[in-house]
Amino acid sequence: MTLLTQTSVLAWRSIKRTFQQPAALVPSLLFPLLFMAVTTAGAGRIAEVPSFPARSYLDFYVAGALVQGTLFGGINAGTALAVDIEEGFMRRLLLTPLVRPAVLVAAGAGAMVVGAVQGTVMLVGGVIGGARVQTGVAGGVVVIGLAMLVALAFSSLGAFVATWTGSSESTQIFFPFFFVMMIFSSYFMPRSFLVGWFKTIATYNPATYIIEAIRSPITTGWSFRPIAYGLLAIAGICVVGFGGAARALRTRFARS
Amino acid sequence: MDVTKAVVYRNMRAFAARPVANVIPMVFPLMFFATFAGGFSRLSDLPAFEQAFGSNYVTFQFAFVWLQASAFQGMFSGFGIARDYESGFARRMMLAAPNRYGILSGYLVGTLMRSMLGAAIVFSVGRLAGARFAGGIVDTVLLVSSGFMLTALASLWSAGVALRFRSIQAGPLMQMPIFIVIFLSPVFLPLAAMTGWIKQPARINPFTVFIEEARNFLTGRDARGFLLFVVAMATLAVLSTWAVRGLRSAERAG
Repeated sequence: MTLLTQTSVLAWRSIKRTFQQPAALVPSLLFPLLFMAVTTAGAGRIAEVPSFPARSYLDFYVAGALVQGTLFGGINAGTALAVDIEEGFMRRLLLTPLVRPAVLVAAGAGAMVVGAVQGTVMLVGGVIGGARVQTGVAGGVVVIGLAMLVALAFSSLGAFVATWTGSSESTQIFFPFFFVMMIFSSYFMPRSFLVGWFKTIATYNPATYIIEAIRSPITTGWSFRPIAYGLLAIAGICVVGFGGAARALRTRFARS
Repeated sequence: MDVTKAVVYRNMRAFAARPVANVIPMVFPLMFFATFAGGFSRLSDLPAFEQAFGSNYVTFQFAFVWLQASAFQGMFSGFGIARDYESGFARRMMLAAPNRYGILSGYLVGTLMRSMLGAAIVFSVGRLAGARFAGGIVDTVLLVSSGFMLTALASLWSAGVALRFRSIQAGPLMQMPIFIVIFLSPVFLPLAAMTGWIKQPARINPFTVFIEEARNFLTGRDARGFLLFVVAMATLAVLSTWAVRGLRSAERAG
């Protein structure tokens, strides 16, 4: 079996497991949509402030909701991997002639498919609520593609935590840290509206560039630079996440 | 009374053993404080905000953060009840207690006592962040009291859920309604400055009275203390009934 075949089999297992547990998937769709609805309704008048860089606050906010949804998905992917470790499935899997990177690649591939669903739901939800994508259908496709890559990045972090701790409960405890990383960025407001220490944190936070990459086709039009920065941030997170996960996996199963 | 005291004593022993665990309900509200006060401060540039509120945005958001933290403190007491059921302790307590209402009141009083640490943290952080307490001593006491009232209300809600389901898996059912009620209110702008679909639910939401009056207590403006009292008492009556019926449901389940 080639790496591609092994990855597809494991990725399909991961995708099936996600959709067979609506209790895990539904909150990652409902909660960001709910939060988007109340936040954009409550703070929508921010778009009246001069120099606000979008047609409406909803247009601005959709990118943040999308990233929030993929964050949930990333943690769920990590938790699923941790459950496989806890239940001994991972140990049995590694006894087979499996190419080891297939485990992590499959987790990422599965997360990307879920990310596509989440991205579509958030974008369609935003459009139904009145958001307008400046770049049209092509821009919408790019946004969903970026959502898939963001899901890959967050799943790499989830995989890192899962392989390092080997515990599904510990993996879920990390969710607040990732949530903090996401909101201390240009999630709620453009960087030009932020001040002081908050702006400093947002400037060095990779989540800022990811959110701005997704936001750009929605609010601004075709612009290469924010998308390039976002892709760089995603690549950086993937290197850290998957690199750390691969090392943790080697260490964990070298001991046994 | 003896049952209440015993439950309170157990609560306080658990608190003394792990005081840091009581800081956890503060984490999300303080995070939102940093984000909203830092991120949404430009909303204070709107003329409608200046007319309706008139003080700085940090002070405006402090009211929301204090009440949100208070509600979260109450919500966590429901988690405690659910965990006690899952461990089997709650059933033993129900068998042993001559008066089971004492169990409910014990959890409630214990939560209120523990929430004083949370209050100290939130007020200290608010002061450091620049929130202005322009009201007098009476306004500040009323501000603190309204938070504790909200803790009690959230505690009764989550206790009712926990007693009915007797499992920590009912956690989202304790959290989500509180979260929805909190956010369907004047979180980002005063009620008078709100527009759109959210204004209608905000006008009839009892939490709106709490948050608007908390802001009046902070700025020293004319507060409608009587209205707050009436809304609080009415909500207390409803949620007490909810919690007591939950207790009876737990009794029937054995």
